Amino acid sequence: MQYSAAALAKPIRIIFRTLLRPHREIERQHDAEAAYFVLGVRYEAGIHPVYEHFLYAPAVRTLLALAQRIRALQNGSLRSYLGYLCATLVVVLLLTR
Amino acid sequence: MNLALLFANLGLALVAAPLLNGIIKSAKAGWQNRQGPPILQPWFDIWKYLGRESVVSKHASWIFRWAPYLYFAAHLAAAALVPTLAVVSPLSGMGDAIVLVGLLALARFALALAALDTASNFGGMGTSREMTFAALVEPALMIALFSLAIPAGSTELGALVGDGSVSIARLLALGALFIVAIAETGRIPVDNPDTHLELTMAHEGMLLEYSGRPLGLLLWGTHIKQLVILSLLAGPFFPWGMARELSALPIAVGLGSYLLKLVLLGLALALVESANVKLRIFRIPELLGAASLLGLLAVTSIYLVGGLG
Repeated sequence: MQYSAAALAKPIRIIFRTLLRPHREIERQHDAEAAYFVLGVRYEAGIHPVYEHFLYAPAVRTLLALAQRIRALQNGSLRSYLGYLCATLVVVLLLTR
Repeated sequence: MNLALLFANLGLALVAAPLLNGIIKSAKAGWQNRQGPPILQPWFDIWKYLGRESVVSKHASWIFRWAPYLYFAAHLAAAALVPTLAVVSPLSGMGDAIVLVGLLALARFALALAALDTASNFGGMGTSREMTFAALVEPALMIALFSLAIPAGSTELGALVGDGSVSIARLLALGALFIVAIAETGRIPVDNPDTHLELTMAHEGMLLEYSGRPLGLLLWGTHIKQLVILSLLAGPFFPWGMARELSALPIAVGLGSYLLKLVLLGLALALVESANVKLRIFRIPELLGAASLLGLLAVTSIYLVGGLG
């Protein structure tokens, strides 16, 4: 018998449970006639994805919101793109005068 | 002279560390009205183990064989870093407080891997607990050291020593580091160093698979770690007597005061061990959380009170 990874990290999961919020679900399928006779078990355990929830998800959300705003520029009209090019050229020429 | 200081540090660590453990043991025995082993007993033990052959499980890999050497070497390197006799660190410029914490973490990591390597249950349980404590002890140690480093303007261990003036930040950091010292030396409110057969053990559980010479090295390394941690308390918080210039007389005074400080700190540890009972494992986070909190308060008090000491 070995000490599994889940067992190794168990004290940390318990101590930091307010942050990690570990959960465990056990579902048993019983025989219809004999309730003590278990036909199958479904076990699921995990922790709350802290980094994903507090770091990556907000970052992705802000990025997407910014992208949504920038989309207003990218409207698919070739004439406005040429207009941007012209405006950029004028600005660059003015800056490097 | 720095080289001489380095060799003095290494020699002291190798020779005095087991002796310090012997003193702590007999002090504890005295407070418990027992006769106790002689002060030199840890030395006899190490000597005995070093001469014995080692029995290694056939399922063990090279990690198991190499871990004791890494463990011992990392702690010896840590012992070379801390300022003991003089205010300067013998390896100043080559490592600072963060390197010291890193070396302790490296040793712990090596031992944890080795304990898991043979897949014994006790090793796994010990590792699990030791790593849990480490997750709580290391932040506390870092914050306490930072609270000393911020006023000094450097994480250099020699700079942390300061001039012996007292400030609120230093007192709070002393409290934090003392709790850290109890946890790091595996002493009673956190771990019990005297037992092999309790299900409460952490550090001893990791050593359980070892025998012979590797076990001797691990024991020696643990004693050196204890000396390093106590030196970390003795240097920055009680710098009286430490040599400020590198000549014969101040160094001699430094040696005397250093040994005295070590013995007094060892007696303090023994007193804490005798006066307390072991905490339940899930009560330990509260104790170690208190250490982190004290460290955090020490850092904040630097900015609030301006206690630059």
